[in-house]
Amino acid sequence: MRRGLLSLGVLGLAFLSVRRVQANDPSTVSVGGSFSEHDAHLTCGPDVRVRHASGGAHIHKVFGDKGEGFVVDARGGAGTTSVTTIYEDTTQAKGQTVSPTRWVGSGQLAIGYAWQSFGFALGAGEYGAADGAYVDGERKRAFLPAAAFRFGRGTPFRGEAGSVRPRSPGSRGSSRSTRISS
Amino acid sequence: MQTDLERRTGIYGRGVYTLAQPVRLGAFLGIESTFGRDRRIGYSTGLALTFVLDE
Repeated sequence: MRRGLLSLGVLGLAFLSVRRVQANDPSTVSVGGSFSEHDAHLTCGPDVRVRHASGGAHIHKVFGDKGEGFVVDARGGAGTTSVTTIYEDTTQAKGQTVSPTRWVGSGQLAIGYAWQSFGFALGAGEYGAADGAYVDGERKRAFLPAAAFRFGRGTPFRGEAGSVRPRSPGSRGSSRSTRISS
Repeated sequence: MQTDLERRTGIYGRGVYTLAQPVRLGAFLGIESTFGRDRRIGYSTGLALTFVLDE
């Protein structure tokens, strides 16, 4: 029993000492790429598979000492969206391209503040297709809200919400599927 | 012709490995689902190189 408590105490002290030397909210620059795939059903049409491939960059800059101060968070990405049929039917063969591969891009800017135990950033951005196609119902440009939160000191626990398309490094946890009109 | 499913959301997991200070390699994998009557499951995955500026 005593040995167990002593071990727990030592582990706890070690954990706390590690946390102290970590920056709470360091400034970072990220570049990367992603791929996603999901199915959808076209109105009055076949079931399709929608594939997205994208690359992008994410800059998170903290203006202050030891990761505490004003935060500027900028993200941008570009990629392609392709739509192919999944099942054969009377009008479409399997694997047939339904819509031409489109180049799409997005950008987001968020501003916030980071304290020792809590940080946040709120912002907005825009998403659109390079060829001016309708990407969200009747609109050629889609609004992309953004929100990011950090809880605790030097912990990996962060929450992010918003929408982004195409997905770029560190992108937020919700996304709009492409509504393609042709 | 239009897709009849507008929005997707999901749960994402991310892992970060320090290649060499201050360079980190991150990878994420997410399971996504559409909203609406006709719910569909999808996935999203990616890699990112992160440079920590103030470490």
